[in-house]
Amino acid sequence: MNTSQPPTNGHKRGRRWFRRGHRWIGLSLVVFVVYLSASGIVLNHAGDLRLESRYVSWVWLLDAYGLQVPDPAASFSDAGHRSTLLGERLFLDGRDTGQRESTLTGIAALGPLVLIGGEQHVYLFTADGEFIEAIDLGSSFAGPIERVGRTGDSAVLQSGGHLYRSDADVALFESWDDAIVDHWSARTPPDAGEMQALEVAWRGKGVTAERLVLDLHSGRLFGRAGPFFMDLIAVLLIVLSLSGLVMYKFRNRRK
Amino acid sequence: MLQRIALSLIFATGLAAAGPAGEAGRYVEADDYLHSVFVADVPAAQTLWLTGDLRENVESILGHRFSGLRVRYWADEATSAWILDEIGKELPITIGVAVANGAIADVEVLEFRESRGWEVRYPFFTDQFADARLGPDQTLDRRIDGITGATMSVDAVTRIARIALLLHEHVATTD
Repeated sequence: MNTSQPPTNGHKRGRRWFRRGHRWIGLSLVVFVVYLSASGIVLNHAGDLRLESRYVSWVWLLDAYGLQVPDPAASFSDAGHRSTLLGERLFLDGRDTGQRESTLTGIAALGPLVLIGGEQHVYLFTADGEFIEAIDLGSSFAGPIERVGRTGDSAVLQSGGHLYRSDADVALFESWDDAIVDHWSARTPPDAGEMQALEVAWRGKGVTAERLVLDLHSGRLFGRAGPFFMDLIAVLLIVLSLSGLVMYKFRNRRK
Repeated sequence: MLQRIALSLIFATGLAAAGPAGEAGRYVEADDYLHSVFVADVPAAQTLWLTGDLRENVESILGHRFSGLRVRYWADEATSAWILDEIGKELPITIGVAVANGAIADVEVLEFRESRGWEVRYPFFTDQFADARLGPDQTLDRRIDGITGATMSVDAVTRIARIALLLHEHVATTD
């Protein structure tokens, strides 16, 4: 005995809207299904494609990652060497020294050595830019380093109104009364070419292709809202699957 | 009951907020450390260039490239003091090591910059290094017990202790 009732107009209208909804969700998700499937396949084979060792350095992309180059906090040059502070990163001759500082007080070219003054540290490099030593002068001086200069091959530092001169190896600093300083380091802005080199050095190699694809897949590349948007897509895919099952069930029942 | 749970939660939150992060910092100034090692007079700083075999040995202990060509130390007839940086997880830990007659006299963490692993500053850990010497393969002649949750900091302090012993030995034999 067949107990099923013929569908009313209300039921028919409901099913029609249900089908339309299913169809529209399906159509609007086509792009995202392709996008997520393609990025998922690439991630599955990230090792084979060596994505971790490939770098992407498009400027707009690095800006999206928050790697915008800040304006130089300070920049000094002496005898062909230039030191610049970008954020808290210390650069010498357009290369990242790996040293962190809050204040840049000057640079002194001392023959085979280059000295960069920070707030209470001085950083010593070879003329080729190889790091030699960071010297903490915080407990030796009366206050923060105010100025950096040179006399002959000795560095001269001013702190708390007093002068201190280094020995020839720039290993020790001693109080110095003779106030004749050959050259005091003065702030000068980097020119366009130097700034370009600094921007390249600041950004480094860029981001790995693996990180880029991963962030595209998860939506993180598109800011805070990105992952939530991808969550919404996932929820819609679940809704689409369930609505498909429901429609399949209705169709079978009609048969 | 609810009141007790609320109080526990507030206490736990307070611990989490003020605990580990509050412990990182600069504990001892370099000058104060040197005065604690050389009670009478702090000798003038000397420098040691890390080149050739010495550099290779230092980097072999570190397991990575040593940043810098020169290290600073203070020494009198028997004792030398070294203030060296080594990365724990991501940031450098500044560690002072005093070596007397080929054995460690004192290890002290002068500055710790990370939010975890700062327990290495406490004497219950640093006291383990007292009288330690370099054994075969430039390892310490004793076992240093680790601290749960501070493995990388423990390893960093241990590496620096070994390097200080190595450098002391080098300075003592070349002087």
